[in-house]
Amino acid sequence: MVIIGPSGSGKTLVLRTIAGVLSPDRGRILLNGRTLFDSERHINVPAQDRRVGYVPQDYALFPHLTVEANIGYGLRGSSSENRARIAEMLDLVGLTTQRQLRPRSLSGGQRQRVALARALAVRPDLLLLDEPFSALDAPTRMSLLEDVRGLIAATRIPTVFVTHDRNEALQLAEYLAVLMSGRIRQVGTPSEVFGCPADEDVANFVGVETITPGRVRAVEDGVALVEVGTHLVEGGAGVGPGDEVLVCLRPEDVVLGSRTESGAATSARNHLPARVTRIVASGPYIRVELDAGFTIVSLITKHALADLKLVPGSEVVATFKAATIHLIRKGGASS
Amino acid sequence: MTSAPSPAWRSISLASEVAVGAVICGIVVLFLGLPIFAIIERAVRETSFFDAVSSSGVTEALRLSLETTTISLVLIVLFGTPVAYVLSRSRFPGHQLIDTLIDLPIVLPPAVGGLGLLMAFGRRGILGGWLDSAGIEIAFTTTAVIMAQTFVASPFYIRAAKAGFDAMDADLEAVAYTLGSSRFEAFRRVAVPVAMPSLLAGAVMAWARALGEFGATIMFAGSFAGRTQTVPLAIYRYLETGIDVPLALSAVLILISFAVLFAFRLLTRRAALTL
Repeated sequence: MVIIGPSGSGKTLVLRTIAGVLSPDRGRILLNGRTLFDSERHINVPAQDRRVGYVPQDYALFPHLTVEANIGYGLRGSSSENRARIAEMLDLVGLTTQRQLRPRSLSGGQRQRVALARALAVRPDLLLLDEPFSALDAPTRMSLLEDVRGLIAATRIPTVFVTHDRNEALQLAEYLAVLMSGRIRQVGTPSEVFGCPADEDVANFVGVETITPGRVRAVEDGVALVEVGTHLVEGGAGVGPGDEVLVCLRPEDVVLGSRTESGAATSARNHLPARVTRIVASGPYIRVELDAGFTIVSLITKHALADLKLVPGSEVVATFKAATIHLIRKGGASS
Repeated sequence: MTSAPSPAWRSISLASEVAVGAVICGIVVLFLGLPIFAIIERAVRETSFFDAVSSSGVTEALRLSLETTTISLVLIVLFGTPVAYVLSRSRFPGHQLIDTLIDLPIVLPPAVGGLGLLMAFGRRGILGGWLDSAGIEIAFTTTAVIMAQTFVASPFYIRAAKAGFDAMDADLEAVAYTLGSSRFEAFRRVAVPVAMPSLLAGAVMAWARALGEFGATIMFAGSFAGRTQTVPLAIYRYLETGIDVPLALSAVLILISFAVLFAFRLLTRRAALTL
């Protein structure tokens, strides 16, 4: 489970209440049917009895203890049992040679693995990870993401993972919850949330760059025909004729072609003539803003940019498949 | 025109800036160091130094000072550490009030502290009658010396300890709780060791303050040789009979204090390196 949301939306707060180091004003927290917190029944299981592992954003390793002492902190068994468990965890996170070091002489990635091992050593019922990759530089992050994913999968401990990074969420999530201004706006699989955001805020946050109002003219074979300005866009479902909607389109789903190739494409559905207004490099891709009566954003490769010889003012055709269109019904639930 | 530096300012070279700094440092070092040097020098030059050190009055005062300050320090650390931790970690009504109250003895003249102790625990003090009927006498005993020292010195420890706990990442304890630690265990196994450099620094300051204690002690405990006459009181008392004994006592006090402060400095450097 991944909780994603912008900074300040309350992600850390949610984790801290589940961990039991912060008490919510009201509500209930259940874990595997066990009540950890219930404001009405005055239940508040203390953190030390919750069996919930917590890895805060800066890892909070105990600075005065060695790697193995950090990992062994929560162990309550006999000393030989503890030693065996520590060795097992060191092996799992690949830090056996660093066992005698203190946290300050470890790299960011190693610290993260110590924190993870420390939390997992006590075999918690649930693991909470607060932005575990935010303190790491980009290359380290990429390699560690898969490691952590493998580790968590191997231990089979349910994990709640908090991030504001869409890529991390996509890579790690089985289920995704979008948290904004203290409220869960949407819960679903990553493809549901990214493909069919529940409202405009969520759409914006998950990277839908084209959000424009329209009106449903008709529904044919379960596919809506939506008037957007002077254009007719085909795609999306779950709406009825006459509905006011927001048409959502992800930039990577918009393909650009030159006017000459597609001829007088104006008659075809989802082939919109547009003029380039802005071209901005965006990581390995190029972000092209288009004016088609409303703003469309497209993400294309450098090669495509070169092939099309695009400059601001170029006339192009923006094409997208009906299946990539998502409609949000205004003032109500969406498909 | 304000942005252009004046020629006079520009003409001050780096070398002269260093010279100014050196002169200022020299003045301060001289001011602080000269009296110390003067005492040692005079004490050694006076032929009777070793006789004075080994005289019974001197050894008694030294023994009493070391004993009482050690007990005071143990009490201060034992009670002060939890107080500093609670003040650092929780907010409750009256928090600011208690925090201010704890700082008060730093500001007060020690004589006021001594008078206060007398008014509270003296024979005619608030608890005096009750203590008297229980057969406990505090004022003008060695116990009173320890209480006076604890009263004036504890704020120095609590202040430093609280700063140490404040500077500590509260997530450390949060994680300790999730790993099964009770509050006390997290305090003992995480908070205290992590804040240890601050605790040590506070302990040294408190001990130094207790060692130099004069005003509160003479008010509350008096100056009885072997019982309440610690080194500072003995220095004052023997001034009547000549300069020998005060000089010897002062020299020994300086040596002990310097040794403790210097050892502490080395110790914290090592502690800082291992953290």
